Amino acid sequence: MKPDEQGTLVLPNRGVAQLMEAVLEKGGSFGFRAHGTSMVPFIWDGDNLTIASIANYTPRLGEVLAFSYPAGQGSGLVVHRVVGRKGAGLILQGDGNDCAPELVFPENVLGRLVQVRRNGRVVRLGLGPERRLIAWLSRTRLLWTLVWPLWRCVRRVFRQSNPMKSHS
Amino acid sequence: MAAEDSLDKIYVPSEEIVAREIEGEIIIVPLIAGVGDTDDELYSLNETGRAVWKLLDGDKTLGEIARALSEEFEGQDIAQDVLGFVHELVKRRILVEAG
Repeated sequence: MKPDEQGTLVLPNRGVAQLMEAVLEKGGSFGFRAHGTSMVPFIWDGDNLTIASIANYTPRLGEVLAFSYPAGQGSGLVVHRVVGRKGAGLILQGDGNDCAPELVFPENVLGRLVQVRRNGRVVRLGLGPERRLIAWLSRTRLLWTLVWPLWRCVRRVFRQSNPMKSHS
Repeated sequence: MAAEDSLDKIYVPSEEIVAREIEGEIIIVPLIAGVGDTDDELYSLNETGRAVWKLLDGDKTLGEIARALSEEFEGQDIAQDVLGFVHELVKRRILVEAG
C-alpha cells in the first residue's frame, strides 16, 4: 500500500471493507468515497457514501447494501441495490451495469447505504420510496435498456439548450 | 505529559477509534460522533509507531515497551521516541491512559 501522487494513502478495496466492518461492529457508521460506475446514475464515482449497520435490521427491496465477497472471491467491497430475494439470500444488482445480479447471503452484508453526498450536498434520489421502482426497473433490465439511455438523451438535449448550466 | 513519570504509565487504544493491520500497515480511523470517515482523518503509523502500537496491550508500561524495543532500534533514543509517539496519539485522542 503506497501513497498516491498527492501523498494520500490509498486503501485497497478489501481494506476499506475490513475497516467498515470494524466501525459498524462498534455501532458507528462508516463514510468513504465511491469508486466505479456500477451504480450510476444514482451513485457517481467520487460520491461520499455513509453506510450504517444492519444489526437487528432486515434489508428491504430497493435498499442499497454494502457487501464483501469472502476472501479469495470477487473484488472485495461492493455497493449494490437489493432487487429481490432468493431463499435466505438477497439478489443485488448495480443500477448502472448490465452484469448478472449477485446472490448475497446475510453473512456477507456489511451495512446499508444511508446517505450519498455529492459536491458537499446530500443526494436523496434513489434512497427514498422510489427505490422500489428502481429495483423493479433494474431487475427487469428496463433501467439499463430503456430508462438510462432515455435519461442520457434528455440530459444531452438539456445541456444543448442550457450550455451555461451544464454539469457532469 | 512529563517524560519522567510517563514511562511508568500504561496507555491503550481509545474506544473511539478503529485500528486494523492492512497489507502490513496499521490504519487508524477515529470515530467522530460515531462516524468513521476515511475521507476525514485516517492515520497510518511509521515503523517505530507500528512496533510501539503492537506492544500497547494494557499490561506494559511505556518504560517496559521502550526496553522491549531497545534491541530492535539500537542506536535510537527509543524511550524518547516512545514518549513522543504516545504524546502525539494522546493529543489526537487515539490513545488513553489505562485504568
